Amino acid sequence: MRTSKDEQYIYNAKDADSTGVAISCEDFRYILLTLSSADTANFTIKFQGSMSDDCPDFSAARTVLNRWEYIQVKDMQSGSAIDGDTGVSFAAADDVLRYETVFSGYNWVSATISSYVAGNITLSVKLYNNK
Amino acid sequence: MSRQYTKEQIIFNAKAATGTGLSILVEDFQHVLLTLSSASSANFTIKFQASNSDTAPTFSSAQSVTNRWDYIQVKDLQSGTAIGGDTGVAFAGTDDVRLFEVNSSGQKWLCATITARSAGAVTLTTKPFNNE
Repeated sequence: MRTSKDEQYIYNAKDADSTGVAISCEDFRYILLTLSSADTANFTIKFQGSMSDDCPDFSAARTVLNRWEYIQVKDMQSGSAIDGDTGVSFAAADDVLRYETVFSGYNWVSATISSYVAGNITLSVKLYNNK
Repeated sequence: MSRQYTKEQIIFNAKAATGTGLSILVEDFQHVLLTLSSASSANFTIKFQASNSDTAPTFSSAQSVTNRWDYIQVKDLQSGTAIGGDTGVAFAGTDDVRLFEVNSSGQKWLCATITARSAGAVTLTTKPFNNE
């Protein structure tokens, strides 16, 4: 039987460079992401994951004691893989895009907005298992 | 049924020398994730090892008929790139945190060996899990 959680927000109409809310996903295999923008958004976003028992500080540099990494996702429209270090860029054309993390097993996921110029960004996550 | 997993287990904890880490029993889990992190401008190569032997092999000794293990391929969670077991992962003086998944299931024992170390400290943790 499928189990799931309601959508959770990493960002809700965010309009600045920043790191979003860290979401606990240890109990779920599948991690879907919905990225949407308004007001002619122009920014780059990179998705982050961690297997640490305790939640890392995704806004701080990666270290031995703060273990996280940018993670690869797959575009659900095209199936294209997007590397974690590359992320997704919007260039003043608002859109709604959907992604799935390529790998499972993360304890925590988050995202960071960089190179923000305009607009606002909403990123939600849907966690589920199929059995 | 919900996912099953363990807490992170440590193969190396701030290891500052060449050597072989702790053997981790992962027989009950399909998936094995690894977090590799370094400090102090680490410069080393690490290779991941696995075995299906009933009793734990000696990963620090040569492979043989009675000591059955091999280096194993992993996938980089940042890029999806597969890294051959005989190649391993090299750090060259720039500290980093890298996430990997073992690219095959069914392993019983998991370990890793640090070679060619000239600086820094290496921490390697593993998180085994099942999805259903």
